[in-house]
Amino acid sequence: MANLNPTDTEFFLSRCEREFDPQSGEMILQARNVAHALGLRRCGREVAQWSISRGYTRTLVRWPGDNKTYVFEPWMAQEESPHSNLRFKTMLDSTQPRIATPSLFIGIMRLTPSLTPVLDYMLSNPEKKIALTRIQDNAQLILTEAAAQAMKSDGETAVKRRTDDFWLGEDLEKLQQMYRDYGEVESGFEITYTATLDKPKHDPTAAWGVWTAHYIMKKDNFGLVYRQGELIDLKEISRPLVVA
Amino acid sequence: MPRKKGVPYVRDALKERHAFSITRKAYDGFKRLAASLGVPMSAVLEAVGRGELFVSKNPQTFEELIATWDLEELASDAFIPYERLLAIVRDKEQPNTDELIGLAASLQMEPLGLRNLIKRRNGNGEPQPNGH
Repeated sequence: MANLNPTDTEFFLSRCEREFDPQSGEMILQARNVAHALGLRRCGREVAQWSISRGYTRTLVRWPGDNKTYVFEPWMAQEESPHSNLRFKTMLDSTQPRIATPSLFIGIMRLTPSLTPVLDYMLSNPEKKIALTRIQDNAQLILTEAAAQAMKSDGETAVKRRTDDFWLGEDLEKLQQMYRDYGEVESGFEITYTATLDKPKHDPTAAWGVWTAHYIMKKDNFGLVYRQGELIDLKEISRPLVVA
Repeated sequence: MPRKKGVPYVRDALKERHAFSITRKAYDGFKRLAASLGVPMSAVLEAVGRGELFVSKNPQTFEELIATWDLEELASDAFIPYERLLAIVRDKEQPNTDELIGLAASLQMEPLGLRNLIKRRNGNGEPQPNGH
């Protein structure tokens, strides 16, 4: 069962500008963009707990370019976390077309025996959106057909992708921190990030999404480190105002 | 009252033509509202104007609240997958906190008020099994 990593909540909270309203007792958080606001929304229970622990009556989240407000109230701290029951995962899986013949798209790489369990897992789960990416150059090297579909790409193109070309820079920094904090954890870690789906991030026509994935680090027989990523949730969003 | 040629007669009065301008969004929402009530748009206006139908800022039911919304548009606005929104609206599944926060923001409601409205729809204030 994939639980949200507490650092995800802390990360999004730490990136917000905070303004306390002493009259109403409300904390108003200004998120950097809609993706961060969605990240906080996904951590609703944790944000509500954080809000209670600081004595706020409730917490409001706003972001540039929209007049909406996400409201986090104390009762939410008691609610079941949406990602603790795999509802997203089930929902994602249930809407997928079945893939009749399991197959993988493989880029140029040197395959060693220690990575064969990854291949077995991918071939045994063709409906899952799984990709193997080499850490040192962020090159995506093996992926399932379902993963290519999620990226709105054909497999041959998707397998040549580099993470840097698609992710927002600040999320790449967050990923580096997650490697340092959780890289050694056997069960891996979960991360929510903003990235394009189909085209590199500097292409103004690219489709954008907020992705949540579970990563497990893998090492090959030469000691090269890879991350095995499995998509848990993807929400399409409009292009962020600032793309770096 | 005598029937005037070419002008429909409604109950105790004759219909007249009146022109006013509204946005496309409001027009589409109004069209959906009339469809949900099963009457023509003019009949809704007629009923509102006669004080037979009340427009409230505090909707009493969840269905009333979303009557003017295009569900695909609402799903996109609230960042909820369309299929999931259909399950909440048509299959009466309970939204989780994430979905509730998103829906409340789009519908300009307090999350607790929205939750209560949805729970009331499901009867006894009890959540429905989510089916997953």
